[in-house]
Amino acid sequence: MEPGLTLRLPQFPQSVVHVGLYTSVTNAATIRKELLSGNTRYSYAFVDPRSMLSVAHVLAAVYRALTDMEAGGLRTRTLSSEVVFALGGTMNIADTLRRFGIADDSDSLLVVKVDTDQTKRSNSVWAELEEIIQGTSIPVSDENIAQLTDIETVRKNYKLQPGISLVDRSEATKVVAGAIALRGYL
Amino acid sequence: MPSKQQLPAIDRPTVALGLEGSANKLGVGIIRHFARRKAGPRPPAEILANIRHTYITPPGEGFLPRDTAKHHRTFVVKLVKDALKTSGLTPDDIDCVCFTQGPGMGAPLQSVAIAARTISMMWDKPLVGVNHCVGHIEMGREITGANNPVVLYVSGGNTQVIAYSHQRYRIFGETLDMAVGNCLDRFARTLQISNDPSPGYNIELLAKKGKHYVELPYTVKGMDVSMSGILAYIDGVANDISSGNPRYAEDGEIITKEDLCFSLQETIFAMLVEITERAMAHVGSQQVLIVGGVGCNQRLQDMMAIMARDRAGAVYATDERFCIDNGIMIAHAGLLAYETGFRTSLDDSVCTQRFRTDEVLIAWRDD
Amino acid sequence: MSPDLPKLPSAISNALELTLISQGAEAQIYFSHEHPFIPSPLPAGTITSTISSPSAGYILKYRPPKPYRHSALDAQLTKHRTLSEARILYKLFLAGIRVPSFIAVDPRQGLIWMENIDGPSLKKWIWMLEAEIEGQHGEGDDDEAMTRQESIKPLLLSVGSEIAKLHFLDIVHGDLTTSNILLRESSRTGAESGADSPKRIVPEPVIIDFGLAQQSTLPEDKAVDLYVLERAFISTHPVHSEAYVKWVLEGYVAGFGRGKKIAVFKVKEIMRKLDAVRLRGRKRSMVG
Repeated sequence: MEPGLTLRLPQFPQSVVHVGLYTSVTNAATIRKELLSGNTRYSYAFVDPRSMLSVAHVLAAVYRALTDMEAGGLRTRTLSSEVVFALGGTMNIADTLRRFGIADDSDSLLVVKVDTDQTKRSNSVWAELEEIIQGTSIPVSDENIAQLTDIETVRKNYKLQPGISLVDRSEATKVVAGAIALRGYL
Repeated sequence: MPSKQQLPAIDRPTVALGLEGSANKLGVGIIRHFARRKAGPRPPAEILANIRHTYITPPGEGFLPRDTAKHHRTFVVKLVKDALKTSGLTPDDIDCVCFTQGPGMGAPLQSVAIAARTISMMWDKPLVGVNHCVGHIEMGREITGANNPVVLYVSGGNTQVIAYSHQRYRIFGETLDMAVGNCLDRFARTLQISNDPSPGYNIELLAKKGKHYVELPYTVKGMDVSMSGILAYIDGVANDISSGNPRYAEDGEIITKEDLCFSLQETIFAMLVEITERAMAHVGSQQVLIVGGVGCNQRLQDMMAIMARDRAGAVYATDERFCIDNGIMIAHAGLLAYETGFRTSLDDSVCTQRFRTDEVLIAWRDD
Repeated sequence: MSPDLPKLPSAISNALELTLISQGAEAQIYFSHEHPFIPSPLPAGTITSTISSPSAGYILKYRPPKPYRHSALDAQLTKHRTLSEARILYKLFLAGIRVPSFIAVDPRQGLIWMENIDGPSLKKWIWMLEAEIEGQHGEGDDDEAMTRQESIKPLLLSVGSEIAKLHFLDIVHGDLTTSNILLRESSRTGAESGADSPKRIVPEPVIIDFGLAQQSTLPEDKAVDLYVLERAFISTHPVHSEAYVKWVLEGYVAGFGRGKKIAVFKVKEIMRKLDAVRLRGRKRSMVG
């Protein structure tokens, strides 16, 4: 059985989306360094799961990135970095990558890979991730993501008014998904 | 093409003289409706005379009420005589004297109303006051055969989207400030282009040479439109250009006055087509009739035709003889009312600058 | 001869099964069983607190290009209007007002995804009730008919209060009719009323179609909004329209900025404007 989740978004059936979740990660600093140096092997979206509410939250960002790519409007260099950028509620790329992306001291990671052209893939995403990440793979589920969420970080990162309740995960996910869809347009 | 509408039986032909002078055109027309024994489809009306004289001002100047009224007073007797001569009729053959009672500019309306009252008393023929907008609509229906269209009425004084319901021409949308023709005329003045034959026509000619689309405000509010902000904006651009501050298009070329005319037409006509389409969707109609002076504009007609085509509908428009203000439309609409027994007494023959299209009971339609 | 309907971008119509449910002057409304980005079904055990609600389905609103207008103007208008509607939907959702939840937007292609509201329009619902009440009249057993009729009042009160919430946020709808208010089973009353008396459940109103909506602080614009709804009641539900409008306005006044001092002043001003709008009609008088 695969350690992560593999799916296709209904509106973008050609693209295959892989989502993995890792805890007890010990080599975040190394990953970040390789990522910054442009090592193509590290072309994944490495997300800090403290900012994440649910699987749907992740998919909202993937959807936004795919929509923008289709319109020829990627703001960052790769689809992977675009997914992290799409998570943020602002147009500030550096700030978004810092808030939502991997940090040197990250001990858990949510990883996303979008394959728009499967024919180019020779090796398994999961095998590659196993080599890259030193940590424990856990099933990608809303429950497991919820264990890692820091609600106050979510509130701060999306600049949500105190009046907006995040108790109900489903409603909270709609709130952030809306912010992701309207990023740069509000 | 005979119109499908049902009308009361009339045992003899009727003839009307129509006088129009609500703006800078003075028009005199004579029309004949044929007898029909039974209520039913009506044979097409016969146009016996349709004569017009336009008061044209120098470039950069609009027509003022006082001078326009003077023009109408000067020419009305000659035009009535010419019309009678063209028609080959004598005053005895005329059944009623129809005149524009409004809406329009006060002084010109009054000067023509005085002429109508005088003729009515001289010839001992009843007066029929006609709403100018209803005149345009009825003439458009008569000429094009469109039986129940959504009507876009666009002229120097009016901008309305109209649909018929329960014996009224109801206004679905209109301008909230200035009429579209007025907007075009005033921009023509800003550009100092000729008012001969009409400022709008000269804008249309310039627009045909325009290539660059300059983004302008676009103001549709529900079914209504607003023009004043657009005019203020494009006037500003035109004044910049004429005072030596050129604007550039995306391809680096300098924006010309042709480009401005083009952009102005593209913007305001798109607004008009949009509210017309909305009214068509609302009442479920597939016909659209364009009337009024601006209705002659080929680009507006083309845009409307594309919209109508996409709705599997059709656009109906008339040529300059009928869409520009004329006496024949007043004679025709007046005669329709006359045949239902309508008369305007001398006491009620005062003109009104404000006369809404939906105030008129359309007694001659029962659909 | 049927009109050549503008087609959705093929990437979308190829990917999803979409059913055209309405065709207006400006936009087409499509229904989809599938959410644009949440697959259904999901791999077992992965998602529990899903935001998808496959039972009601989803709505895709599409503003097709208008070939009659200049392409630059068309692109600009489509983008601007699509975004404006999306922003308003999202703002209202955040404020807890009952509208279809906003899902996603593609301003360049004129697309908005939102939740479907599964329920009849207020128009249909009133027609149904009126027909039922009329049908039962004179048959002796009027109990159920009475219950039905009474349920119109609380519903219209809550319609009024929902519009008030909208206006309090300075959003005017622009096209309030009884067709643009949908009714769905209340998420709250279910437990309160109990399963034994389903007829007493008052459905909750959901306002839809914000295509003509805009931000406005003017009491005049809000009064026109109410006036347009009043006209819709009069033309669509003529027999009892007076009572219906009275209940809607009662709910509106009571619901406007509940408990806030400034609101009392504002709502009085709106009601005064409404009287003025009624007198002159919506349109100003024009010089010819």
